[in-house]
Amino acid sequence: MSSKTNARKLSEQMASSLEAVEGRSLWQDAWARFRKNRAAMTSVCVLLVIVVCILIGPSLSPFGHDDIDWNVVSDPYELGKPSLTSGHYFGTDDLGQDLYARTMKGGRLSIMVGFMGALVAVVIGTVWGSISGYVGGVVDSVMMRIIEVLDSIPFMFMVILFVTLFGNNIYLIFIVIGMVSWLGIARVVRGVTFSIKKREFVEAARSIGVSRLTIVRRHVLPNVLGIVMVYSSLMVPGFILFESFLSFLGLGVQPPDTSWGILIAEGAKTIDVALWLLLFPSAFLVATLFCFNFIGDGLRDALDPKDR
Amino acid sequence: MLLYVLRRLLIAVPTLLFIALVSFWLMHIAPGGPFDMERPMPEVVKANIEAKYHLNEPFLTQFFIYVRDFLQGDLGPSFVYQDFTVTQLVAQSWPVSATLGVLSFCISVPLGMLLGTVAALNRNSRLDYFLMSLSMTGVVIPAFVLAPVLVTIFSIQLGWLPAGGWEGGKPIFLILPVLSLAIGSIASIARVMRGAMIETLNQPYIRTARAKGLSTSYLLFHHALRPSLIPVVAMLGPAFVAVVTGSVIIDIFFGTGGMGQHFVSGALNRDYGLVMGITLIVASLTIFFNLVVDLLYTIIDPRIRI
Repeated sequence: MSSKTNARKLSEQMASSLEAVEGRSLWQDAWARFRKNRAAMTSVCVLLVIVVCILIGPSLSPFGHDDIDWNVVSDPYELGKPSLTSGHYFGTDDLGQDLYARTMKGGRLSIMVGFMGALVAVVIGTVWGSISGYVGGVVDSVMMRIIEVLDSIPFMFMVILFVTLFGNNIYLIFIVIGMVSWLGIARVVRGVTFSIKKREFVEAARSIGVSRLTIVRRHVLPNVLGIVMVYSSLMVPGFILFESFLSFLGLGVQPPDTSWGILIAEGAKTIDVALWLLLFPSAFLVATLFCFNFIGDGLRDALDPKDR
Repeated sequence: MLLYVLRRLLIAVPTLLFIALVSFWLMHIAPGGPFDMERPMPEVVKANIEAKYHLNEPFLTQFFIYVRDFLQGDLGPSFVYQDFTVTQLVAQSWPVSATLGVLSFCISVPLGMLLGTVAALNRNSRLDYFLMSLSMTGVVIPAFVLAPVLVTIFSIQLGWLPAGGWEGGKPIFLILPVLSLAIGSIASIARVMRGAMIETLNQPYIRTARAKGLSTSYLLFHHALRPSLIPVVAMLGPAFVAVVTGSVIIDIFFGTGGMGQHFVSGALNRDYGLVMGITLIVASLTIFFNLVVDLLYTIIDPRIRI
């Protein structure tokens, strides 16, 4: 009698201990690894702070991004120095516009543009790569040849050519950039798809009659997701940089809109008299780029299958 | 090998034609022509000008004329600098860009490799962390932030170096532009080199070589360097593009009179001929450079067959 209850207790204990060692998914594993990466976690926090600043920052300033403060216009390099009392936390530019408001406003555009470009590139690259890798054969080689041809086009120059011809609508520019920078992602996704296609679980799915589209959607894409995330997290800073680069040259955003690139370009012209005009926007840009790079590195270490 | 080079060059021709056609077509459909004036010019004058620049021909004929002239080294007229042809403008600015590019490449490749190797040999030491955070900074700070900062320090505060200009390429005018251009490349090459070197040093054959008691320098030069070069060489293509891109900023910020300056002023002034000419030149260079990189692979690693 008692041995029976004992046995039941024992089995219950075993069952509960079994529950305790519930298997961890790939994502839980990756998250645990990512959390241990101090640089990446700090970057996430700093980036969050920057994003919050950009979102609610403008309402904390008494000045709008294109308001002119007539009190400082007479001598902007003296009266427009950064100070807490005048309300110009970061100072003003030579027109008397508040740099704090402008940096926040510019940041919105810079970061949004980075994400938009990456989104377009990721969508096109993933679709192209997974089709090419999964279908294989002639389709694959044609699709890869097309990538090879596109790869030898100097995109910076093509984009500038495009801007020359169709004006500087910044979102248009970024869709164009996104559309021309999906090549790397497509290559990577194709490679991964190619190797997944030959795995047993895909074969099993095929043997029970799952359609091709469903296999790609249910089995291939989730496995590709990790590497795509790593890749795109490294692409966002690239796009932010490129937008700043275009704006620095005067080919990107047009006034009264602004972005970090424009602010840096303006600051670079007055380094000898008003260093703050260069320092504040540069600091924000560089900090953001730092964060994205560390996060990207952290994601790679967390998700890279090589490590396992 | 020779066959491969020939095939690649053969593929390059349609690629370049494709790029030319696309950019030519973009220019064709773009609103506004180079001769649109505020006041309409007399019909006869307009017809004459259009005939001179073949603008009255059908689109494809215009394109073939452009390609024919391009092959003969004639990039057409500049619409803004009316006294110059595009070929003249390019010939003038090309040596400046080439000097800057080659110099910064010659500095950044060896230096980046050196720093990466040092970091890899001292992996996870203080030196490694120091070098890698330095190189992360170098990767992250864009040339258009770096250049003004360097000018502030060395030209304005210290007064050691000129803040811009070219003066026929005197060395003192070269230092800041080349430095601004090279630092980013040094940093990214160092990062890649470190990763590749660490991977190589973990290989069993390196352990064997160590066990035999070979010195670190012998080990490095005879066993570890070659396989670590592959990812670095793969980087050289993008690095080259980065130098070209960066030189646009450098040309403008330092007023060196290089190709980048013409390119951007062409873009701002809607000088189609100039922009398209430079695009085609850079495209040809990119294709050529990609080929060189692929050939370098086979020299470094004979197992790679092409």
